[in-house]
Amino acid sequence: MKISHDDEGNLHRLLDGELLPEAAVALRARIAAEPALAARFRALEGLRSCFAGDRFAGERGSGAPLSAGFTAGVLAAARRLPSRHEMDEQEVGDGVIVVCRRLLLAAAVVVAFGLVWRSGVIGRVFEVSHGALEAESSEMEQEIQRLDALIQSGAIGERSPK
Amino acid sequence: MFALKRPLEVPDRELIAAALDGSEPAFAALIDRYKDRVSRLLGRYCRDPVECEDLSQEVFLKVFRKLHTFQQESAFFTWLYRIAVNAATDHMSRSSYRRLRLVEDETVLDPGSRDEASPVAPLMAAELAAVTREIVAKLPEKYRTILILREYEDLSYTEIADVLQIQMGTVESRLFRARQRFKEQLERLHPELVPGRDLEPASGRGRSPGGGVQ
Repeated sequence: MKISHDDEGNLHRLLDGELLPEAAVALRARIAAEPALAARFRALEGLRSCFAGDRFAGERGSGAPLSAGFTAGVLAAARRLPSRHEMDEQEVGDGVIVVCRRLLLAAAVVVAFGLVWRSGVIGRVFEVSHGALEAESSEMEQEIQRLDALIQSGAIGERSPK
Repeated sequence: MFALKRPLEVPDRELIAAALDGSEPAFAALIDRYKDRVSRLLGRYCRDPVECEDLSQEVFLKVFRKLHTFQQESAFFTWLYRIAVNAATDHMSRSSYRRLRLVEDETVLDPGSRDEASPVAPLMAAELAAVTREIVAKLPEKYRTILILREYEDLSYTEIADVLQIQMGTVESRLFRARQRFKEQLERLHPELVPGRDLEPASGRGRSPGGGVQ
């Protein structure tokens, strides 16, 4: 039996205690009546037990307690900080520096591009690429007609096939 | 001067106001109130106790610096969690240390630390806990964070949305996908540890919860 997208979402919400009480009651009644839904819900509950086990371990062990002087240490470090007014000023200053740095970078890029342009490198690149382009078909046609005319006038000789 | 006779009864709002007025005891009370939660949350990202303490200090110093920007519309702890999660992810990307370091946690591996009747059960539970941690560590950051907030920190969907500054619908879909990713990894790496693997109908396996399950 298929479990719909909505049912799947509601099973997660039920597991997380996020369903409204009446919706939770209704879904629990369906879980009791529908084996596929019940199996899926038990599987989700099982999955959650993985985290519960790790949470237990974390709370007991690796959630290393902070040192006794932690609060005092933070307060001492906070005392060494500049005043809020100074920090605000510093933040503004930092912001200005960032903007200036970006503007300088943009200006450097523009200047570099200008220098390259003036040196003619870009122009040559374009020329080369233009040179590589084929002529328009109308130009080709004109050129063929011109050559035909030259041959007919005897200005140039027609090559005989060998 | 702000006096703290019974700090646990003073609401966060008052402590914040007093701290903003320059009261050191008020800020100390805020730290004392939340330091264990912050440390536990950060402990899910970095396992080295010294590193974790440094990161916790960094979080509270940032709170100190930014307290005036806190909007009282949301709970203080979700704002604090936002700072902590950002600090943890920044720290990990800074140190190119994108994964949790697996520590041979004596408590996890100590069979005597649990009270199950079967002598095998504690070992299985310890193994499952270690494997869970390993898999969570390898998940993409957004999935790892949402699982940490939901499964370990027990935050509601609304609180998660507030901490991560995302929509409720995004919280749901991301959480469902994170669970699915976790399940797929567990099935792939340690199928013997998948809880209730005989319960689910075969047709229901391997489908995305966010995208319909059969």
